[in-house]
Amino acid sequence: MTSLVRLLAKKRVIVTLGSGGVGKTTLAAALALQAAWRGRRTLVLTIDPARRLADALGLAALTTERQAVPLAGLAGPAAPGSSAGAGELWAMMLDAPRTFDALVSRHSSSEQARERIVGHRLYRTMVDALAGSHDLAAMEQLYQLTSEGLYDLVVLDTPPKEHAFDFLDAPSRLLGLVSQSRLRWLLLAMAGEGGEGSGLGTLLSLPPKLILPTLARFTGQETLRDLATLTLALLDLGTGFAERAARVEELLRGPDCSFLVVTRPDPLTVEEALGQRRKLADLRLPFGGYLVNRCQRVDPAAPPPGTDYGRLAYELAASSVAPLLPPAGRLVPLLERLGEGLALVRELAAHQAQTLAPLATDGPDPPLRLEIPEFDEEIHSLEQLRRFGGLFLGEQVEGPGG
Amino acid sequence: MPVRFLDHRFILVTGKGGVGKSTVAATLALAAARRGKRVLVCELKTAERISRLLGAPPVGTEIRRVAPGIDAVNMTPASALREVGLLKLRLKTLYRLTFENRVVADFLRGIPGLPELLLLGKCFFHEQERDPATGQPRWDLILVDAPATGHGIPFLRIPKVIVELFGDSPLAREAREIQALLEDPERTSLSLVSLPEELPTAEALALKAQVDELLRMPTGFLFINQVLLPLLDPAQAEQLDLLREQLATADGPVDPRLSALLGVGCSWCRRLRQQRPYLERLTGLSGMPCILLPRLFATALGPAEIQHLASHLAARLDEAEGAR
Repeated sequence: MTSLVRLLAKKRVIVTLGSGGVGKTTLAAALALQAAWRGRRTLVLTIDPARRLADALGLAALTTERQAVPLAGLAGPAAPGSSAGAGELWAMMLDAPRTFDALVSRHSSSEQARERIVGHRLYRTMVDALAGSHDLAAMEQLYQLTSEGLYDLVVLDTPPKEHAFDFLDAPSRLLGLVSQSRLRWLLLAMAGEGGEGSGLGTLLSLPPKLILPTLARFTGQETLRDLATLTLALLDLGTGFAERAARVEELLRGPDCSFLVVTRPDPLTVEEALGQRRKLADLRLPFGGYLVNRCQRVDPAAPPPGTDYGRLAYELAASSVAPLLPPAGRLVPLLERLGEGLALVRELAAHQAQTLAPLATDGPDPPLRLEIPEFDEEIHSLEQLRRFGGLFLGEQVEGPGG
Repeated sequence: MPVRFLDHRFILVTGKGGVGKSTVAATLALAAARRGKRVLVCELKTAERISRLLGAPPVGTEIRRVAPGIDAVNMTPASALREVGLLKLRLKTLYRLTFENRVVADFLRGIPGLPELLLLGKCFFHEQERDPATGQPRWDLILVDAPATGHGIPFLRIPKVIVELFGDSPLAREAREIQALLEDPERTSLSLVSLPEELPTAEALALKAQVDELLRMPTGFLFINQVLLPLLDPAQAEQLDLLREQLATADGPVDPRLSALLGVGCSWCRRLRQQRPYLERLTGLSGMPCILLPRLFATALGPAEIQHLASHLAARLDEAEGAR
């Protein structure tokens, strides 16, 4: 766990990654708060936070403008080696359409070129309704935030997607697209601007006069032309766009960044987490460790399986707290019922331990793996968010106090 | 008399990741198969779950039998494109040269909404599929495990968007047919899945609003998954509280075994209290009939758990629809 503390102290970018519903967003906020609490200027960029999280951060609403989260009200001791409140916490939400518009504006060669894109009848649909642009927008936002140098650490929550990796692939996909000169040829032909004799046929291994009608049978001639003009216009954003994407990629691959895979102790999610780690390796992105959320803990002092609760009640009746106990006739059934609950909880914990075993043996070095106990409270306040973070960063946590 | 829920031809189950959509889909498939339906479960470009839940090896992109009366498939846009493409072109070579050309493939990947439309188109195709010998539908029920992302179900909005954008193209004609299926209350029913927790509750209510306003699709049930059942009866719960209060005043040490047991009870009660407002919101505000599914204390759900859930679900369905 010290190693997660080290990540929080040293990295410039931490990305939380994981399947849907594992609690990425809350964890990202909790990590950012811990970093700020330990003295760093931290910003958490989140995608789609719960209302409760915005409340917990002390913000009326989490907006797309960055907002300072007041840390002054936090109680408790400062983290070792830092003075409490020395850091800053900022929070903001990703605004994909606006970020994307800004991106287009920045890289258009002229006002006319910009208009060709923004004014295109398919553009809004593409940006607003059909997502995908989320990925690029997150990358762009990350680039801006890190290059401004206002923050020591940016914690990035990834889009709530089935496929978290669309997001990671976004820069290289874009790079691939822009560098595809053959695609440009095809598009020109589709838009009706390319000639037959442009050498396209040899490049495509099939003449466009055969390809285009085939495609048009799916999409219709008009549609094909529309799509081609928009794609062409986007490609014309040119190398500035691609360079930026390449720099984000460089940042993400570098020593200043770390990806944390968030998971939950159920077999499919764990399997997905293993896959996510492999994918990180494929993309040469630095893996920081697994965070396993919502693990069931069993109090080690709990009576062992097979306990005779009648006997336990008898022993209790002989202890110093005897006068506080109800009569055996009521105590024994209560203890028995609690014992049944304990058995279920214990069974679940055993299942989970088995489920998590593959994470420990994954790869040559056992990776950082933190099991985060199920937090019995709902997080409504910054203080609770801090306690939640403290819970898995090894800080002593007092009980919720009723 | 409206169509009984499991008698629909096209049932979609949707919800955000992690709420147990696949569990509900597998459970519904089993409940339908038990009533003699031939079911096809469609998963969409996802980590495949249904086969495992029903105790079968992974199926991949080819349709396979996973349980008696239940076939399954995990569709990808590429596999759907191949099938739709082949169906339309009939010429494998031409298909390969056109669609498996890398440049064309790059272009197609970039078309907004095309992957979603292809997946939906394949589901639609299976609904239409007839046995060539008998003319009977190949399946009685097509059950689609439909993902929700961001603020809605982009997947289900696609046909409409395509129609609006592409007016009269062949693509739009196809989209229009799919849209007609989606809006037909005789054939289609859209169900939601949620959990009694904050974010899933808010998301389910937002999804429902979107279904009503944007999709105008006929809806079925809201399945509330992983509902924790009480451990103690009310009298015992009161006793537990009293005992905790009493012990807080104790001078001497309290037996740690007793503290641990009381801890289990308190934690249980706290979680019950936590889920209550969300259950109330979901049942009160969704405007949908709700079916509660119990939380199970196992991590690896498999055929045994799904069997158990299917019996439970069938009983609740009968209650809701008036048992025969």
